[in-house]
Amino acid sequence: MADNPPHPVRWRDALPPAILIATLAATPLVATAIGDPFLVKVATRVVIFSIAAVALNFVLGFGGLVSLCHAGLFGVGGYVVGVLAWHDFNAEPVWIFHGTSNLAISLPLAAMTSGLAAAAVGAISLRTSGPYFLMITLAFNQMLYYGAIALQKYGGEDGLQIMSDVSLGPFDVSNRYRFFYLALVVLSATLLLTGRFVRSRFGVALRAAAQNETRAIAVGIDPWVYRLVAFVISGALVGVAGALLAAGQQFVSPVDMSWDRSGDLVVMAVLGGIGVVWGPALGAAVFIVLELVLSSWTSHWQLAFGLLVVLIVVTLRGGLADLGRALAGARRMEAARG
Amino acid sequence: MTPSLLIEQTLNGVQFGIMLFLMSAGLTLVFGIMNFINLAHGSLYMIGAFAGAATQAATGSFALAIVAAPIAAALAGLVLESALLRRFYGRDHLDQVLVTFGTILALNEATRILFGLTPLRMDLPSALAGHVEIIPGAPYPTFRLAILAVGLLVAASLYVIIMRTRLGMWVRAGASDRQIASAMGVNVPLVFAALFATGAALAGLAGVMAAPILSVQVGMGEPILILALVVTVIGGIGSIRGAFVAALLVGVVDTFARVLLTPALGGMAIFMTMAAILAFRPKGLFPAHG
Amino acid sequence: MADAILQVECLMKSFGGLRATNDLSMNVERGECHAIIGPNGAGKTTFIAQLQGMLRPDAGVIRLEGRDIAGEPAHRRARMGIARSFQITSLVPNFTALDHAALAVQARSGHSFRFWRAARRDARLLDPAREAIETVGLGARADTQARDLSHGEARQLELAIAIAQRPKLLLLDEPMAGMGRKDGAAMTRLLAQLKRTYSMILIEHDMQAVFSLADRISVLVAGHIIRTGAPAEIRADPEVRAAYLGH
Repeated sequence: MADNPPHPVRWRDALPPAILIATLAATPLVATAIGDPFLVKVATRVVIFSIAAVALNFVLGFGGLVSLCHAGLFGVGGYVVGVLAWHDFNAEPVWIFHGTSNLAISLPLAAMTSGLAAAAVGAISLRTSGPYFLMITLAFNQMLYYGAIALQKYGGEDGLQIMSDVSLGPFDVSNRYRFFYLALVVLSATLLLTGRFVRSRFGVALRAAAQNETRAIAVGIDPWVYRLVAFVISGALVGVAGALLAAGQQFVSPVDMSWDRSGDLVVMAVLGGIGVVWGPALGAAVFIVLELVLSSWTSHWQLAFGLLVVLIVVTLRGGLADLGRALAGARRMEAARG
Repeated sequence: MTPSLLIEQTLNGVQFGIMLFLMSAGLTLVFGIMNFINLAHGSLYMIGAFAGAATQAATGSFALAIVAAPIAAALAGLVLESALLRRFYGRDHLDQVLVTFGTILALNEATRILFGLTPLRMDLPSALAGHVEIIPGAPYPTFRLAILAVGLLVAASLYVIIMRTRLGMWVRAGASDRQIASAMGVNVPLVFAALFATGAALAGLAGVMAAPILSVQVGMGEPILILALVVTVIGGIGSIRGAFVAALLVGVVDTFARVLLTPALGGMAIFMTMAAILAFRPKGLFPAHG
Repeated sequence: MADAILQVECLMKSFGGLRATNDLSMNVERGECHAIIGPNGAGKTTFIAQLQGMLRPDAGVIRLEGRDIAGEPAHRRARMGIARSFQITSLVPNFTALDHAALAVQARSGHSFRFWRAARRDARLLDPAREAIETVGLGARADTQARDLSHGEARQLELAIAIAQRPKLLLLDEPMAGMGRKDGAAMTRLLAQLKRTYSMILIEHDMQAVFSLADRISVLVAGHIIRTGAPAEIRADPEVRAAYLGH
């Protein structure tokens, strides 16, 4: 699956994500220049789903775990922000807590809650492996989905509108541009963190267990604990992404938690390439732009999209990141192989 | 809960369970033998329902619709299997998930193009539209009883085929040991295709039987697919017996949970049950793979 | 007996009706190279797998330095000092030779909940790993990915991983499987050298190697040890000759 030896960080490896971040950082300038603020909205969506896809790939590409409950965990993060803002706006305290629209509080809480949900889901799902894991996480995704619908007080099936302006500590981030840069900072941090994680001892143990479990166990590594911790980290990060989406569009709804959203995240990751940390961010960007372009052409864009997904699986196995590497020339591959 | 309601809901649960069994049988066999996770199995259910509704609209015959649905689903299954999915039998599960996920998106949209956005209706012939008073004071829809009968008949014949015939012996051997399955050598691709088509036909049958109760619309396959996956996992992947027991369990639990709790909380009950069972038996109730 | 590193008593393991391990008892002295020979299907690999913990015995006792470990999972046994090289090479295809050894060092030196520092720059891992790689003579191929190693080199790497674990007991399951004469001779020399440092159980079909390396030999037939003795005794035993060495 993932094909990256744990080599030391070279500046060349940091180049593609740096270009990605720089390109994204420039979009608001372009939007202002051409007078199209809609572009910032798209870019924000790209950044948020990049965080989610990178988070998913931490367990998918490096842990070998095909999780289909990440949309559910994404939604948990979103609902934490939404519910806290609802209590803040309606001045209805939960027990002793007054609710808040301050992301400096609600983002960490969202991460914690999603992480806890991931721990519960993971503790059961990781007792199994392979196809069982996949189907069980899918089922848990639906459980979280119905759980959100059951929140009648917070809109149930219709979702929850965030009425108050969100802030980050003393800063007002309800402004579209400011919010975009906030999300971009979170994406950069996510890339940096997961980049360190996969090369650390933890990452090495996780990857070894993913690619050859027998070998990992034989040298004394217990795959279960490392997978569980990876799953919790991944869940917390995807929860942050969900929280950002909720805060950004001032709305959170069960729709974003349905299982096909989990499928979308997997498609983003694979599309970009699951072998490198930044691959899924590229995949998310392509996915969202493609969705936008296709849907502007035809209302039946999902037909084309579905066929495209099939085509990608049939042909491009390493994702776009691999395509880039292939185009960069065989020279580098030779050099890498010694 | 009154005794008559209890009986009515139990019947509903068992009837729903039987439908789930028809869905899960194909899923669990295809997985057990070909080692293939077919998320597009729900699309075959949808194809069955649409084929049935379209046939009835064109001919006015309910009987023809019931026959046409499994045939259409089996044909669709055959085309899918031979043109695309069979290449993925040996690939890792991630690829399988992706290719069937893409297939779902494409098939759903294609159906929307063909039939439009408004849900189709399937009308019951007068013979099946009424109620039967099984116990005094508790009329029960005739059609639901018919589903129950058909489903039990299919389940029984499947059981006989798998437990008593040569073909079934092969299927069982294949489900518990893939090495044997591949070592059989003789025209394996054909047998795989036939198995896939059979599973598709059963899904199509489930689809057309659900059509008069639910509405026939795009996306109807996915909720039932997920419940069928839950059934497969609880029963133990590859086990027909497990699928039968788990399908009835899921059907009854789901039905009662929705009556006793709010619909959304009831929707969660199944997954709670699954989690509870897997916490103690990670390989399901009847693990086929040792 | 007081200084047995490993004691196995009355080990039983059945698959369906087949008794793969049938009332097996043996011990390994500290510093001993104990070879197990027997016809194909005698249950040698099954036995090794139970010692390592990948298979759980149905009954019986396995003591490592006097402590019963039969209930311990495989990863914990590895940490207690049991290292196994696999009959069929089991590597991580895109890890380099050095990565494999470093993984073993990492696993032995405590938990891996270290998230920040790049493992590939950690001298505490790399130095002992390189030493293990060089011990088996793979120094020049340290940075080659496992998938690009030759069969013989992969067999050497199996051994390097095992010794990077600094085990108390080495379980070597046919270390020369599939090797040519030349590689086989080199492996024999290497094992003769390792023998001075480690207690080991050796399963091997190459009788010349077995008789030159082993301090004691046990003969396993149908899951049961029928004879244990010094190489000369085993060679002379008529029953063993009939059961095994005859062909």
